[in-house]
Amino acid sequence: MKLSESAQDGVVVVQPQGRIDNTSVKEFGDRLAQVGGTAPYRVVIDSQETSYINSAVFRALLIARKQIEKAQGRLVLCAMPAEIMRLFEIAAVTDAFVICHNRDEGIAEARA
Amino acid sequence: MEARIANRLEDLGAIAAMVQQFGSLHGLSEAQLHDLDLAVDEIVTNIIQYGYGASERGEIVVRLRYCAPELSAEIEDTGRAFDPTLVPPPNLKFAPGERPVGGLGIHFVRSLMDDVIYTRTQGRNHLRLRKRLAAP
Repeated sequence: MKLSESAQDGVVVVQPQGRIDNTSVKEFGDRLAQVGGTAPYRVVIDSQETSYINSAVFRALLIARKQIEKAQGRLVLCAMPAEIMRLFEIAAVTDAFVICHNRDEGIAEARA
Repeated sequence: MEARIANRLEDLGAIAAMVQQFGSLHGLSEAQLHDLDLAVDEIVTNIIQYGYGASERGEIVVRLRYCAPELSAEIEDTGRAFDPTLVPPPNLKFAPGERPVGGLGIHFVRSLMDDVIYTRTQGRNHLRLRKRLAAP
């Protein structure tokens, strides 16, 4: 996994590239904890270049979501490939996250 | 196709690479390959994290087979006995803010595979995952 990050309109966009499994999920979760713990607590995770996630990633996302919402912030997911979206449906967590089609929509939603 | 790894997270890459190679060899679709990859990854990760004591060393063997129309993965380990088929399904009816953060791995395996069969013989866990592929 390679993590890149950018800021746009007061929103931090985190873009994981490649595979997130148990060899890389700690780095991913630590990064989310850092950006999610920093004002203005508005974070978009852009998954367009993410090829794989497993159950450990859901754990990291749910922890990040809780942390950011506690700070009255917004966590938005966007551009999820079909296979990843299917896992969200199997896990029945599509209602637990704000999920957008693309980065622009995600940023707008995070600023709302 | 077979791979043998030690019970170390850093060895997971060797299993993932074998699954990719297996998918290419047999012309699996992206979705078929993904499901096999995830199911094997979840089981092997679980064995590495919970099957052995902190300083205990063990071997995990993964064998992949394709005999149309069925894919199968056999996973063997020498760790403590663990039957994933007995794990109760997670409660998915929690409100978003109350959702527990664990317990999804085995749920994914059961959801993505058609059969999950566990046996323990001669001090080894044997897990067989089967997936019947739809005709192209």
